[in-house]
Amino acid sequence: MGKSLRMVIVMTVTAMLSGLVLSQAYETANIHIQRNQEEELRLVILEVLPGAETYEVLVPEAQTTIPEDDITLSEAPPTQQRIPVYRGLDKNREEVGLAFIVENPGYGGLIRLIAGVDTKSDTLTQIRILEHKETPGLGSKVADAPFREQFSGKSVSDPFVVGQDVNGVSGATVSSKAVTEGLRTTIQEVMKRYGKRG
Amino acid sequence: MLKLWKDFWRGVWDDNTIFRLQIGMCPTLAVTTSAQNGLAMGLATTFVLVCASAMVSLVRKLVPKEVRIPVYVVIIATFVTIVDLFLKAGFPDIHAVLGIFIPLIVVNCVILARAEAFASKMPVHRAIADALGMGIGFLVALLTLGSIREILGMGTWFGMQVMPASFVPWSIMVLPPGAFITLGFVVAAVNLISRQSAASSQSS
Repeated sequence: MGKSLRMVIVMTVTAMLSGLVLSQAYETANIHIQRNQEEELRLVILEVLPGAETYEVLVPEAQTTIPEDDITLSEAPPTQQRIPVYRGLDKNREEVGLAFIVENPGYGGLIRLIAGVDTKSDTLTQIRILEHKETPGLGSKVADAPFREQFSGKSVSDPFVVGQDVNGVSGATVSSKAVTEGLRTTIQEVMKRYGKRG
Repeated sequence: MLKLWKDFWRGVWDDNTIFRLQIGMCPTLAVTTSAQNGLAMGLATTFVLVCASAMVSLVRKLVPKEVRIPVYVVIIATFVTIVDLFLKAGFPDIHAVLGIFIPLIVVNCVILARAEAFASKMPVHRAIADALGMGIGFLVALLTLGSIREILGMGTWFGMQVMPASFVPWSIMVLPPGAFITLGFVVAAVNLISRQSAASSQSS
């Protein structure tokens, strides 16, 4: 009896101490981790908006925690609920373009990408895949330059259809379509709300 | 002092985890695509090894024999999580590359092996000397493999161009087969050196 009690106490104390140390470490590290992620986002926004010196946030990113009583969210169709939008500004604080985040389910999971639009010519500047879970070596090629660079210079009013004005990655139709269609719907939405002619 | 040095040196050379015991191989082969990755993985493992060994040695008289393994694993996992958070916070670039291998330090058999075979029976200072030796031996091995693979596979060392521009990189060296090929040659070289030094010490 005494022995098993000792085992229980030793293991409980070990686990408690470990939890205490880790929660402290997490609190300390999390500040830096979040700052790193914000910095990364800042760099990528300025990268997809050539000529931008700074930017302002029009629609911030959603909170990661979804309110529990928000049942409508899970019943809604799997389109993007919220489009984070950033307005790029040049030295004189004139708008050079808009950057926004596109989320669309691909083959292996959500594909998250950032796109920039030059609002003077209403053309896409660049897209960058931020996150994806596509098949390595196949769908993952949508993140590579040959596929994503074909969007640079496209007009926002282009059809954005794989096989028509966009060359898909062969063997990865689902991933190619996810990127293209996600871009199409999100661009339309963003231009309607924030575009100069909208 | 001499005893401590022996504890230390055994891990670096005589019982080098990679070159001699050949344990802890899967992180070794996977991350040594460049010198920087090898160094970072070596440092992370050494840190965990030293902290875990010291802690295991400190509590060795308090922990009942029957539950020692779960207690050691919790201690090791705690330090690994700290390293993971620290890298993510301070060195996001390295974390992006080593990310999936850091949590696997928990199951790196070197760490549990040293906790079980050495630290749980020895006073703290000897446990730390042993862990430092084993860790540095591991680090040197990873750095050697990473350097060879990066120089031959990419023509660079720690990202700096070291090979002449006419050199065509052997891309197989940074792919998985390159890890086995390099390991084979390095282990052969280590065996050769130790055999010769044993022979020369016998003859003298």
